[in-house]
Amino acid sequence: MEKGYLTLVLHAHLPFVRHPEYPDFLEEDWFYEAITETYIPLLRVFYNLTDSGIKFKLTMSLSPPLLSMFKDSLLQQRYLNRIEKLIELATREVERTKWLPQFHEVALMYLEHFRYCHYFFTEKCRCDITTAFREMEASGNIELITCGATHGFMPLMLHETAVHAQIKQAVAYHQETMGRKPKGIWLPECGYQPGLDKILRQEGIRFFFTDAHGILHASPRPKYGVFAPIYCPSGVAAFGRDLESSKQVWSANEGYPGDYVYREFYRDIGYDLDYDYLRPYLPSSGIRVATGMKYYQITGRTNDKYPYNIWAAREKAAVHAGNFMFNREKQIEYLESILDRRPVIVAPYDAELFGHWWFEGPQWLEFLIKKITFDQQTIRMISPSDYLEIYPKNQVSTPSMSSWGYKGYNEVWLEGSNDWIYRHLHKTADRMVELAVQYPSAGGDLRLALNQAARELLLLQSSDWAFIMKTGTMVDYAIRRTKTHINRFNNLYEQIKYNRLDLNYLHEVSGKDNIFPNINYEIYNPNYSPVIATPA
Amino acid sequence: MTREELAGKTKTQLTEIAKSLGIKGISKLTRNDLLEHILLLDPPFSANPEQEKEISQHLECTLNGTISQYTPPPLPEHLTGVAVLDKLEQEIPQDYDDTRVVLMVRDPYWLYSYWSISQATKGFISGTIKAWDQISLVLRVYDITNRNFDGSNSNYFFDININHGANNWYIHVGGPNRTFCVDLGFIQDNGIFYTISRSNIVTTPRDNVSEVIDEEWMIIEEDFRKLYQLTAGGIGNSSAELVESLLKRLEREMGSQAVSSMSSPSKLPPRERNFWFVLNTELIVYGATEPDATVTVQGEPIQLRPDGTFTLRFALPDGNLDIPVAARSNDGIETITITPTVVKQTNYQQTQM
Repeated sequence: MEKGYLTLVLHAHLPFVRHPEYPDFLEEDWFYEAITETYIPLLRVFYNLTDSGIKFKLTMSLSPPLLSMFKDSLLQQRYLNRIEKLIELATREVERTKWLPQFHEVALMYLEHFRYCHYFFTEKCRCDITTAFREMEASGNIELITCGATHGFMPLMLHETAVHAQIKQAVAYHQETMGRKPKGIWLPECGYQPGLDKILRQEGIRFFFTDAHGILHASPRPKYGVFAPIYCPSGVAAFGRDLESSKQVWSANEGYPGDYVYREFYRDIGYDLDYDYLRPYLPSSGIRVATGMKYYQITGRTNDKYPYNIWAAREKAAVHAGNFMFNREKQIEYLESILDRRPVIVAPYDAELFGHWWFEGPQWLEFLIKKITFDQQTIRMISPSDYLEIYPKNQVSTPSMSSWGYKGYNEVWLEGSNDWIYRHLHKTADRMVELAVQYPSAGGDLRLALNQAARELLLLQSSDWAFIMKTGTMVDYAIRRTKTHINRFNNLYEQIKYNRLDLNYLHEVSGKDNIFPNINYEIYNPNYSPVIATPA
Repeated sequence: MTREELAGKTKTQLTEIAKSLGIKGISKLTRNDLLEHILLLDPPFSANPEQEKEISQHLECTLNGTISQYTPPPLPEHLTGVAVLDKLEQEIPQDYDDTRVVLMVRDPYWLYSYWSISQATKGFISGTIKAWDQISLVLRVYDITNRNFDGSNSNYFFDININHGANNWYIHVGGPNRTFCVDLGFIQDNGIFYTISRSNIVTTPRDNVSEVIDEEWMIIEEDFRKLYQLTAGGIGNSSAELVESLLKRLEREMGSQAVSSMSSPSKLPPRERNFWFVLNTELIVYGATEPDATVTVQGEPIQLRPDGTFTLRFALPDGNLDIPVAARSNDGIETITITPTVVKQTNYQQTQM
């Protein structure tokens, strides 16, 4: 009999980036890289485990922008082009490194992986990765949850209607693409403020997560700290992040991903190799970018890097998985001895850490799940909804406003570099509500314009833009996107309001910002209730 | 096209543009009306012949710059020229000519406020109270924790003097778990505060464990309809200690910044910035033969191009290397072997001044 539970949560999200007007676009690469380096490797692990009959439980949030990019045929087509290019490059690399056995082996590894990606993407998924996630959810090993519609940071939204629309649209789109209503939500950036849970409840969400202090500072004081969920007064459960297990994976100094035998992220052949040789694989602008093929290990705080050793790194991933499990066992044994119930350890991570930043992350996860299955009896992996089945009775308390950003509150998204956006975010939300109230049940072109205005507002609200402005890489793009959506929204607003719809403009903008094809702008009408309302 | 660009045009030019946009009743419109109509319609590119050259250049660069086999799906017709649209969409309004002040929470100790004041409000105040530019704006911050605020019953308040150029402010309130609101206004000559606009109400988060220790317990029914059943439970000493030690840990690690993104990791060590130098050597082996011949390099067959040429490229290690390249004729009768021998030796020298 287990003594406690481990809830691993992977939060998968990318901002909606899609530029049909350019043949290639640098920021679109985030998506293609994440497919090759994170989503397919993770799915490959899930399939391996499932196919070998192992029962496990992971919770994964798939943000609606990510889902809509998975579903987009242009991006699918472009991903295929991209992976075909990578296969070609890797083939050439295998040949080029023939006389350097250490590099040759690594090049072969990449070639194998890229070929697998192509196969997996086309054959297994029919170019739509959501099918693989659906299949994994059906296997019972993964519980899928949703996120904010465009990953908007809710504690800084002024309008309850705007917050509500983020959640309503997320739930609707999740159901539309994944075939079932999500039971839980990953709040964007773990951003919670009291009252949010009421809205979650209205949309049928049963649980969410906060950072550790969201629970520890909850009121009344939670008896079990972060080792049991609490119920908000609305009845929605809040699970708190465990600090210890997070740190083992995240910490720059002590975390696993910094181990010297692991793959070095920054030394990419895109920067190292001869320009003419690489040119066909670089963006059309010709600037050097990372290709995804990296041949070195971290080695240490030096620029003189050793070649990557696949087997040593794999061995280390297994050691780290063992270490992680050992620590959780000790943690759970201790907690169980002092608490009057079995504790739950919640360990959430950004999915993109696995594979993209931490190349061996998916291997680590596979080892961890196998070890938990076969090598111990203290821990059981569990999803939040299964936990709530076992422990339906929990303490009532209101979590404290919190996020998992630097310093734990809202400062990452509200500081000198990005505070200027809120004037516009709030105004556009105001205006959207105004339009939705003024034009209920619109039809024809007016409806299309109103729906597009709603899309522009949602895209504008992505927390990614403020985050990028703060962290300082790709800032221009984040500013440009912010301004673009402000402008598009305002243009549409005026066209609607003054009855001067420009259909060419509308068509053009809808062709670009085509997230959520079935959006209904009436989510912004506070008085709106769907026709098929279920009586309370 | 921006307002500035349009403003630089003559009425005749504006009429031309308006015509091309299909605006009706042009002759009756004043120059200003024309301009507003055009702006409202946000004309497509073709309305601006001066930029025609720029767009064709742009498309030539982006579309023809495409690399060999990489063919993106054809661009839907309505999307061509969208990049130009982006250009028209660069500048955003400074504010929206409305009067409002908004309050936001940054953390337990700091608030952020932004505001705007409409021309109408400024005009009204100038006309009824005092010339606008003679007014010293004040942000009055009220602590209204546990109050039903009516404008005069705050726990306390303090003023921040604002200059006319500012439109936002970070406010240090230093008070976790307290409720605030601000008034944007000024102090009249008679000493009475005049409120131009009142903000929304916000509550700062706790920065510590709650002082409330009443326990309430709840059971949630699966269907979420039947509500809760509350029971009381005692506090175990051991779990109280647990919370204490968790809090100590939290003090050290809170906001350990778990966020990252595809563009920027937040928790991986930064790149080294030492001086560095990398030198690599590659060897290119190329040749030509009959297109139907069989060619091997170091015994392994290689693929020829349709014209019988080939090019191979190898990273070159130190040492002596024989590279036998053999071509065998299609009928198998003739074989020619050419074996270059390559010697590579690398010396590494580092000096420090």
